[in-house]
Amino acid sequence: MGAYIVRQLASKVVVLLGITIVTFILIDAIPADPARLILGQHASEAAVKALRIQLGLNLPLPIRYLRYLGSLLHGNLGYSYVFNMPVTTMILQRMGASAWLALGCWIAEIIIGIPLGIFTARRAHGPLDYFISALALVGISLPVFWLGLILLYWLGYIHQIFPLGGIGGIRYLVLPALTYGITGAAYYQRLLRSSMLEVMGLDYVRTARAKGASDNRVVWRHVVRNALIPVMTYAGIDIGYLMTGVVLIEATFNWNGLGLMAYTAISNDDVPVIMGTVLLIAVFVVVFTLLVDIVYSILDPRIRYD
Amino acid sequence: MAKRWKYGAAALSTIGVTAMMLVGTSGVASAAGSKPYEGGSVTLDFTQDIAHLDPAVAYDTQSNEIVAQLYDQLVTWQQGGGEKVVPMAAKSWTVSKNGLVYTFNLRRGMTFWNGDPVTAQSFIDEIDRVMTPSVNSPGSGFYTIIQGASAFMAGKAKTITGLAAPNPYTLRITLNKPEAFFLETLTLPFISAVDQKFINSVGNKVFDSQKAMGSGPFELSSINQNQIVLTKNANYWRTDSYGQKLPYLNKITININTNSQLDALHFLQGQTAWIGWNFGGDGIPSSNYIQIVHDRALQQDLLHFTEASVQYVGLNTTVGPTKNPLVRQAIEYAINKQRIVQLNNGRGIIANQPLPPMIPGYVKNMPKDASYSYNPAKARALLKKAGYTNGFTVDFYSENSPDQLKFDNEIQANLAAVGIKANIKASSWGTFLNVAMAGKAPIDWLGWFQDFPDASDFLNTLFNSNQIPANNNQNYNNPLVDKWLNKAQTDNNQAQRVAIYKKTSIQIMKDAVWVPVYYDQATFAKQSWVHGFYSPSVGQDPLEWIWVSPGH
Repeated sequence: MGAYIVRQLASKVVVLLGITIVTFILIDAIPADPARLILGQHASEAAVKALRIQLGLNLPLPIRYLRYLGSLLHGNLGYSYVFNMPVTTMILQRMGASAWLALGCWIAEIIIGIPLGIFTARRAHGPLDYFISALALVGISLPVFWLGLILLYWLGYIHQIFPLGGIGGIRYLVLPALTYGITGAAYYQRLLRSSMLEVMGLDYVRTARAKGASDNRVVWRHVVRNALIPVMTYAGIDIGYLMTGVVLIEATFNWNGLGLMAYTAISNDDVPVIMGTVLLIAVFVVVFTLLVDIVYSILDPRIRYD
Repeated sequence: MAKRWKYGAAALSTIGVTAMMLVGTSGVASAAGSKPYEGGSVTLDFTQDIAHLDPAVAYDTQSNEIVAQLYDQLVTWQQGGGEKVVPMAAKSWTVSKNGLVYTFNLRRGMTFWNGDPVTAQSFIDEIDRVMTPSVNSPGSGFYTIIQGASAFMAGKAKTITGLAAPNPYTLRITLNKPEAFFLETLTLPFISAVDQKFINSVGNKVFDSQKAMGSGPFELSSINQNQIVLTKNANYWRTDSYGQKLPYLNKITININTNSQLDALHFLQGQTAWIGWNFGGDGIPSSNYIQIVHDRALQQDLLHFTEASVQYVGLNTTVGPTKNPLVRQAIEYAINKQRIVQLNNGRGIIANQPLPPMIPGYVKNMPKDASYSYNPAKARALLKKAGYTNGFTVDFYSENSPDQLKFDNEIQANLAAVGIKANIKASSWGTFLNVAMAGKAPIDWLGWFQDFPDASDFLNTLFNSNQIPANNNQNYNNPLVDKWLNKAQTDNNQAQRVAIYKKTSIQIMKDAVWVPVYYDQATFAKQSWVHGFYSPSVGQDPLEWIWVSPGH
């Protein structure tokens, strides 16, 4: 197991390095001039030119990349072009808010999606299954900002049960989480439903039934437990992705997290911030995938990493 | 469309210092006659992060609004609107006969929040900072007229020779050549009193992003990505006509909220004090505009302004078919400005020249040969005369904001109606700016917001051939216009300058360099318990003059 983790970590470092290269090249391909964006429309050409030199934008791409990599190895993500703040500080400031929102969204998806998945799998191909599956599909198709605004308008403005956006405790978290839960639950529902149907056809389930185990016992002890494995994989990657920000939810609910930061950084051509957030997303996804692998082996005794 | 220069998302666009002129009903009236109440607080929404706290660096609208509350300048704009430069840190000033030497007599007893005195050196330090390349001040271009400033900027001199402080309360600024609007450039927050000792202790980057030390009416209490809190500077030097100390408010809380629709709901719920252009975000969002302006309860508290800005379609004089003046004139006739203003919820006054009506130099009655009206038949005839019987295809560049795309479609349809096929090339503000400011766009849409109310800020900046291509994006080069503009830059006779700018405006329209589309109009809505609110014709929102009814 230990050797497996070390091997995995080594390969992930290569992945991360590749991501930095690709992102750097992509950002460079944006035909905008960060110096002009920073100084604005009215700034003189001389001032823009001076800034371009100061930021090192006059240097060739490979040199700029190596410089970035150099400081990255020293743990330095650089300063935001726009905000004159260390990227690390900016990320740390927003990480708590993003993690809190991610957790809320994730739990909402799961507590809506998993029970629906089990329910529809047990009534597979019946009218209730079709009805709920269709409803879940409607959920996936709802634009987050639309549903979010409707919820905000009714429950925040008209009835004043929840606050009108902003970062805060549970009361603030309910609406964004619910919005994300409704629009994301269908993934879990569909995944679990099909996974359960597959497991239900397996020999050991038939054996369990043959032994006279009750339907509930079969479903809960044998089917659900095994059917959850692919759902776990998805949930692991999902939380890793959610951690780094949910742009639309953040924008709709005035939740200033990492997602919005990355989004504005892109429109500002704020290279250090874009690089920092992309790296962060990559690290999260890598770490959570690894965690999922480890949890697998605990859940499923057949899986061993040697 | 360059609505305003902001960092971030789609709203990102033009400039910091916004100017507006009071034309409609005014919130000032509600305050008249009653003595302002001291105390209370307000909460506001901002749609963008505050990018800068350093007065040498801040230039986007929202940062400038904050900076103006924290710092004092030498001179400022008259309270209540109007375009008169009045004393601030400088009690009085004299200008030498040749227009080269400005001597400012500074107010005594002004201090920074930490108790350090504000002296002439506080301003010299700041001008030095603006001209220091590593500070990255977007304002350096305004002050290269100061003697020795360019040499200092280039690293050829250790000090700026044109700056002197014969004693702590006298500041002398010497210019290379006279400049009629130099005093007006000193109202910009770039030239604020700063405490160099404090800056040295925290460093330029922290001074720009986390900490402030000014002498202004409000102190920075806290700043993070969600919120900025300003608290009253109890020792502020200014008083009102009742002898009461400014500012009136104890506290201003500004929440950074990116969803402008929620900002509108916050206002309607009574959580925020006002919703408008400068302080209070992007103005009333398009989606809630109709609802708010037709809300009966709010009628007394709505304020409409025409801004000193212009939205225009630029026609490149050296790139593409628009090289031909006949083609440019044809496009002048082809565009339906009325319809574009309609698409903007009616928020605009149709423009017929680059200068907005409130700027001296605006031509009231444009001569016939410099006036164009919507006339597709005439446009087709002109195109035929230019040799384009079958029209042509051209690229039309703009920013890709939602409102702008509506205008783009209208322009595309207008041009198609006269036989010109326009390919819309809409992109993010940064990408668009890069093309436009290189003078490479054959046709583009841009906006310009004034820095100070002088025609030079429009005409010289945007049409002098020495500004090609970064500001003169149309590569317009008319030696006659250059000669006039250069003369007006240094002429100290205001009447003569106005006459020159009128001539210039007419010539530019004859040459059909721009299709001026509209002058922006803005609407504010405030709560009935907010008093003293006015939108300045130039400069930042005057928060030190605002007060609230007791209990808020």
